[in-house]
Amino acid sequence: MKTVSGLQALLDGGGFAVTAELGPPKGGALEVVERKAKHLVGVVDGVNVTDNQTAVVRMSSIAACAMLRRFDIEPVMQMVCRDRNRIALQSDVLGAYALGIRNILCLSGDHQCFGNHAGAKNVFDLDSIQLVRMVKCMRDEGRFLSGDEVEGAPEMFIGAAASPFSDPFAYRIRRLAKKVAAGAQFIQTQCIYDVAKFRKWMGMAEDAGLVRKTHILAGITPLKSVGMATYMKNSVAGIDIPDEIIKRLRAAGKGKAAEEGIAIAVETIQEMRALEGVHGVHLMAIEWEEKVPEILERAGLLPRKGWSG
Amino acid sequence: MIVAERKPIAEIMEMVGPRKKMLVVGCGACVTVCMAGGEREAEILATTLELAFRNEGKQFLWDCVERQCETEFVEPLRDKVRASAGVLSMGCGVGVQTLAAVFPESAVFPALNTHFMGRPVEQGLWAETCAGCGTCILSKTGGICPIARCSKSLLNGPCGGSVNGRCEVDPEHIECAWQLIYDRLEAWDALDLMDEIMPPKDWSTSAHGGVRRVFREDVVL
Amino acid sequence: MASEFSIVAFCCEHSGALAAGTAFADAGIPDNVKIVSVPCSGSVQTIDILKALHSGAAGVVIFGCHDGACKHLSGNQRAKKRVAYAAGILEEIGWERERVGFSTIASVEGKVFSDLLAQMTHGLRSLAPEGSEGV
Repeated sequence: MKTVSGLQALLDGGGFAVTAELGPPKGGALEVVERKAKHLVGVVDGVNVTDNQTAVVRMSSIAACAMLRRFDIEPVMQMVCRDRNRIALQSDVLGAYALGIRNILCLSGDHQCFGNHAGAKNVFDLDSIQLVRMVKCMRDEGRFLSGDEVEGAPEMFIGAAASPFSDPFAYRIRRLAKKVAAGAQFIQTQCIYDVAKFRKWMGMAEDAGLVRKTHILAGITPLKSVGMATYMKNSVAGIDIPDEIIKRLRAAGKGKAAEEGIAIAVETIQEMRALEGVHGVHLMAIEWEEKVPEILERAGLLPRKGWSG
Repeated sequence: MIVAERKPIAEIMEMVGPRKKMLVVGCGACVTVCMAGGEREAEILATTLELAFRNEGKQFLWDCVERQCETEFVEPLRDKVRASAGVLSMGCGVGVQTLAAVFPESAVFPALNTHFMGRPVEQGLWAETCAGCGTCILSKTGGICPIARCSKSLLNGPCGGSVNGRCEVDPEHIECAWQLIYDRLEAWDALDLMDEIMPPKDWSTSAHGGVRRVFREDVVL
Repeated sequence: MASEFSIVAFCCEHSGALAAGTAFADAGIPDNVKIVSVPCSGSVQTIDILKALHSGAAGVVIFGCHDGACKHLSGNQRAKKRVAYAAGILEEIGWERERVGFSTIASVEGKVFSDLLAQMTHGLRSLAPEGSEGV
């Protein structure tokens, strides 16, 4: 398998990767992207750019990814199936490749009912697994879904998401197997708070032989407040926050919950580093990018090699 | 069956406009089953509109046909339609358009909002079941359609939004179709059907492919 | 058509109609109330309520058996739901929900029957200007 990106080189080479996430602005200002990127330069191995996350209109992922390259950051372009059909998706893979993007995370995408354009017509021409296979087919066979030849196959490191805490729990590993069979070379999981449950999931993934077939990066999201934790626990699918965590945040006292949230994130990362089969962490500190360097420093993950082009 | 609901009466009253006499037409098929536009509902609407327009003395006659989507069943309404200034159809969108096609000189209005193809699940509840995609895959999903019943029409579901067998789009009302499929296939010991990667769907046979028709040459002389 | 507004009372023959009988024997029933005996309050359809109004009644009430006492098990519950549905229809055309009502009653409750009707009459009177004319 050809190495096409810095992130791939690190992971395939047996290294522990750190990726972060960046949400593009709800406008066309390059400066906003630059400001957020500044915190992440040199401290992570790749930065995911979300694709109209939660179905809220933001600057396109492909555009923001192209900009990140200018700031010496290796982008991971997130691509959802909600807004674009196979024609547009294949087109964007070509465009991303042309713009120097080499990592793609294939997702189904949040339903538009969650966003600010709930009356929009959705697409979902493909699902995330078909999308993974589509990119793989373009890369390895040089073919579009139609069977036509791609003039200059796009070289991409392909990733997918995993949701260890969604249901049906018993099926999640089989679905992960499908993603890997489709061509997912790296997996970024939904954020983890219940380490014991995640360990169990990793065990199941290992039993299914998947740990050696793909690179699993554990998702980490630092909690800013008790309110944020309760909201996520009750209202966001696939996020399982044990009561002990919420207790800790509460016990920290007024104004100190964020500090405790960072401490919890650092602890979780350290557990992930020690967990066999976890090849990295994916730090989703959305709208809190400035905390990423501190978290990684305390977790002992700095300095990093940085973007090697 | 086709499931529909009566439009708000205020909206129907606006359609009446200046007309003094209208014919309300019900349908004895699907809309009777979902209690939206059958004989009972047609009489209720006609009576209600006469109450609403009592001061203006507007007249609302009513009738009901066996199936409003078939020309031969609506044709006998001709005299009544002619004698009215307009028609309020309580059929599904197909029924409305059939009346409009058979009586092109008449103003035909939809008194219902047509929603979906579905079935009665329990008393008072009708749920969407079939999306009319034109390429049925029910043999692969244990008789449960992911196109119609998965909010994202995934073929390799479920997504991360499946929690406790519910769909995150509306956990109170929507079951996760892929949880249902998983449970069904598990009961049949046929989970390997879910291990196969289902390829991208050919949507050309669905509404996305263009206006559709079915022609049976063998029944035409 | 009555010049004074009228009330149509659909009365279940197992409860309401008997209560009406008692009321009639005791204090009499006002002229403006028309008693319609039905085999079960649940046999009254929504259209029957609307037609009564359409024929000139200012108000319609259904009297059914108390909860648990319906001889047809849930006829009284059906009637209550239908009255609520009819009230919703009235609201949609700008009429008062209070023109339709449902009450449970026992066969011996003649006084209750009279009181409830008096209450409804009083309530409708305050709406009278709009609803007192017949069709």
